[in-house]
Amino acid sequence: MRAEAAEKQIKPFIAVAFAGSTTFVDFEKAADKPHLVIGGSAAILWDLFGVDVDVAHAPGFFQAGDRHLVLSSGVTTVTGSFVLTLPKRMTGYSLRPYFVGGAGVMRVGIDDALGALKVHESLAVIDVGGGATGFVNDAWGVSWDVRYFRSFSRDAKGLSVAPQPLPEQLSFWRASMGIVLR
Amino acid sequence: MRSNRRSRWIWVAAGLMAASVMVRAAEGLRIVPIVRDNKVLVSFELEDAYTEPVRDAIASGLRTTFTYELELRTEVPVWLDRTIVTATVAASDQYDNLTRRHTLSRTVDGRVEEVLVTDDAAIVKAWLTTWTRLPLCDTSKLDPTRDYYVRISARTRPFSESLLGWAKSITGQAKFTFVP
Repeated sequence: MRAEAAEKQIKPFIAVAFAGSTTFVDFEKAADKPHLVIGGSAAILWDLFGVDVDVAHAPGFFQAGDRHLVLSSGVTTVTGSFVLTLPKRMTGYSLRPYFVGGAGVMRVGIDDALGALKVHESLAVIDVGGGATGFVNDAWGVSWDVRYFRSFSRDAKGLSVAPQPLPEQLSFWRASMGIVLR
Repeated sequence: MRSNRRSRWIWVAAGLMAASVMVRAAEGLRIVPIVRDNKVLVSFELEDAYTEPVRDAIASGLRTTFTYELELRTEVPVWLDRTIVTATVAASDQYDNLTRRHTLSRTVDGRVEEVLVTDDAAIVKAWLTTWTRLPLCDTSKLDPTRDYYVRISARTRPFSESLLGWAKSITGQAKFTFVP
């Protein structure tokens, strides 16, 4: 394998968010259900390390689809992560595994039918995970990625479900598959 | 009972024909890749392809073309084999019934590389079915001590010799290890 400069990658992807957990008022008990996620990321990878910026949106995150207690909702994440990967000289043309860990912002939006407990909050978030990328040719390939997102605890605003208001918190897993362009 | 016996014979016949197609695919193309002067050179021969129907088609004046699609690939564990380079080459024969001469031409990726006029059937056969030391790529595209293989698919026009219209092309491959 010849020595190469840093590799730049663009990854549009679709994903499933699952196993969500939240202290926000979840009228439709939908946060722990699977939800479609669309997004994209850009990465620069050197031999062993890299950086990754990831943007994703999960529409209807707090909607189960049959209760109509929530008019609209969604969760958007923007994260920057460090990437640890195997050198290309080791993986060759095969799948290149990687691990990511980073932080960013999570935007949570909930518009309930009564308009009593609307949520439009931006929370700090951390993400950890990993995946693998395999290229079909020099231009494009396929990537699989699993990440765990968890918001930082912050001051309670009375929007959580508990006798004593808890800090708003949201966490979920995201499994994605996307095209990788370089 | 009779219908069972008939269906069994149909399956046996289908199996024999499928096996025949596979044998043709495996044995029909003889491929020899070599590395020389920093280039990967491929020689190949499509055996038993210059058949009576092909000769009849040529004699009728139809332009007859043998097209070969070459792929240089490397085996990749746990992932898709990587294609390093591809090339499409073709050898054509246009027979003139008045002069009784064959106008032969060869193209590499659409570029005409060679033209020859002859009345020798042996030359026509070799022209259509045999390629010698065709440059496929520079060795700079290869990784040292890696295993590669050359896969070639061959088809003919105006028709493809086939069984039940299945095997429209014959495919063969040959492995080599690049040691610089």
